[in-house]
Amino acid sequence: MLKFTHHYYLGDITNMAKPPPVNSNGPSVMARTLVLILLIMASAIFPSLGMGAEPSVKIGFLLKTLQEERYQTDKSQFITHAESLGAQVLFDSSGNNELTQLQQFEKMLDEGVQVIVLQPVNTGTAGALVRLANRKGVKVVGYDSLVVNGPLDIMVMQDSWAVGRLQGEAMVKWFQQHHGKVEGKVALIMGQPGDSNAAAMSQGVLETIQKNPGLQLIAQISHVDWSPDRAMETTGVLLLKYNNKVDAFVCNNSGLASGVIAALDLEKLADVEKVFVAGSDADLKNIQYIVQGKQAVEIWKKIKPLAFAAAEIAVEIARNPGKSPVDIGKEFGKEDLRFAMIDNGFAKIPTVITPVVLITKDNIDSTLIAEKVFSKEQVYGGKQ
Amino acid sequence: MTNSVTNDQGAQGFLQSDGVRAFLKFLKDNGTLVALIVLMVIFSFWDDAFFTPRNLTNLARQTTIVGIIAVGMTLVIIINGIDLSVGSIVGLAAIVVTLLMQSGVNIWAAIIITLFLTGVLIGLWNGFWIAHYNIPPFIITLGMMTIARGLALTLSKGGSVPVTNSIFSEIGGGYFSVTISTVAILVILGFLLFSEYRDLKQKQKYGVEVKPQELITAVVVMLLAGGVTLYAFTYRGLPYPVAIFAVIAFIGTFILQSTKFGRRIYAMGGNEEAARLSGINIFRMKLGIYCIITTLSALSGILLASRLNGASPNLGIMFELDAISAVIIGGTSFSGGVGTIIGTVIGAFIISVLNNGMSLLEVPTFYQLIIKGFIIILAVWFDVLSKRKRG
Repeated sequence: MLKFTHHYYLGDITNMAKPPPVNSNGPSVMARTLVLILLIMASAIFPSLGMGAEPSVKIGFLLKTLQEERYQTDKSQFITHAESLGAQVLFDSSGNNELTQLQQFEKMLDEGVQVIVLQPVNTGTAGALVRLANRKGVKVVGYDSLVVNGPLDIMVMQDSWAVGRLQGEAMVKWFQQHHGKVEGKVALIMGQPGDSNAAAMSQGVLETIQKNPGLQLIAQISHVDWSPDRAMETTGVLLLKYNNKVDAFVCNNSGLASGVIAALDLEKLADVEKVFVAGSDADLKNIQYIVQGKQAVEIWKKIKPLAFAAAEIAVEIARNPGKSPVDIGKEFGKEDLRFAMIDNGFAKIPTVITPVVLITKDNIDSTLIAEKVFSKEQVYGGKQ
Repeated sequence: MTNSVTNDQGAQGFLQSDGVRAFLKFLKDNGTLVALIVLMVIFSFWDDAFFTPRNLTNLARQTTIVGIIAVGMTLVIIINGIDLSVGSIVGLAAIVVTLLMQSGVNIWAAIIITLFLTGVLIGLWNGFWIAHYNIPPFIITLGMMTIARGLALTLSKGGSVPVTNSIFSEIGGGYFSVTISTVAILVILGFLLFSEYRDLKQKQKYGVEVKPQELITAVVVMLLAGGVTLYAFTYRGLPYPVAIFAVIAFIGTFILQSTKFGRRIYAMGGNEEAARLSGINIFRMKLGIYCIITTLSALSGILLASRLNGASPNLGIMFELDAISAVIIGGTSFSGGVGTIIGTVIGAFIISVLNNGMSLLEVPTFYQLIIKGFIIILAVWFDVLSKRKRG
């Protein structure tokens, strides 16, 4: 049994022991360590040296991981934009390890940053990091994932609620076009149980279903690890139970949607004329499904507005330490950005919300391809 | 067969023919099989959709992915080892095979290269450290678990890899026609019954004691399994992956029961030092066995990628747990030396019947995990109890 207890524990170790960021091909480790030691010594001896009279600001950007491809975009967009605004950026990523993040956070504080932009590894405990910073007079900008039940100065995040709402609206439209009325069976395929983003995305879908009494929610099922294969099994069981008469599957991400499509394929139902499937993340595979007519819609979460807004807010706070975060947030709530006070269980956090985009067969060219997320060959297949 | 027990104590054969005792012994010897049948009967009554050809076909297909790994895991656990890297290998193999195809490699070449790179090579690596330096397999395969997952994430850059090849998706999603399946199942059933008959004749010829209880059990189980299979595959026929699983399980059983390699595996599990002294090349054996399990895991990954029509690096998370559970539920002892493939296959079916039945009954995910955990503990407890009685 010993082996089992250990084994269970391993789930977490896997996450921790991910390899270091790939893109660290700078000077040798030795040299970097030396520079680091010198820097730390320098900052200890001359705490406010180097800032001088210039309005130069120093901000920290701490991501929870660099594992997924998108985070490379987060990193490069944020740093480029912040530097173009005249800020110096200290960057780090925590390999999904809470303890590593704490150490990196403390290090940034020691190095004298004025603002830290933080994507917490653990949304439940990151409030402690914020307190640590606030005690030193450093403000923290939450990034992408909301800190739950803890303090936070200001937050920048994508519109997770809109994800579900957009999926829901697209679904209603689909029902009108294909059934002539909004009536049918809907399955909600959810991600990691307890994940705050999954919950927010599902919220929007549930609201749509409530507004349309003809829609019947036949299942609302979470999937550990956002596992596509489990989603495939869930779909198989639902199709069996309802004798293939499920009209719509709304999924919290692209991977889950591809599991649903695989199960529908076995029953020759992977066809937008027959079943509506919505995903979210705009994975290449799902975009191809949309082109092939297997999947109806995807949601594209644009990284650039998120990274840009966070960089601008961080610089603004660093330049005007006296200004209240609520006022700063309000200034950003214009054009396609939205401002809201969001209750995270501890306080109402001023939050700047960046938009997400509904992707259908008709706008792939003008969105994903135009903004060079994917090439035309990748989406439509170059060789055929 | 209702003789009362009047003879001397040595008459084991008579003891067995006593109704109650025979039944208890049957329960003890075939606990997992009885559990599987009971579970299936319960779910069939609970939900009409359960015992339908379509659901049984789904169920068989779901069993194959973990089942194939569990066949390899049986060998590993019999020699007192463990392999924690299997789930990550599944993810890595899925990524490698899809990436190869994406870069224009022929599908069959891609499959073979993947089996070699993520199966044979990694197996050799694991086996080498375990066998040559005597490092506990727990540690080595734990390392490989994170290495392989990291490789999968790195190669795929954290994203999913699509597949457009329609032949590839056939491997995991296609079926043999109902006619071919029926003929195949009948032929196999006939072959099994015949070999049972030949066995009986030989025993009689050489005067070996024939236990009618065991014979009847075997025949009934075969007919039952054959019947369920025939019924299940009237849906669309035998799915390719299920056929692959059946072949692998059959080869595994054959190797364990009828080859020198198999007997050596049991010998190593019973007492490795004694096995070494009797001239068994432990190094080569371990290398071979760890190669077999990683190659089977890689195959599983390829099948999974085919079923999903693409790969993502988080495929196969926790599969090691399911594979180990199947082996343990199937009666393989964690202290080595004891275990059968058929037990593991039954164990794998128990897990997928549970998964499938619980999702049909809409048991929430959290409860499913809890129930699965208790069943594993129960199986180990049963193993410990029956050993205590033996000793």
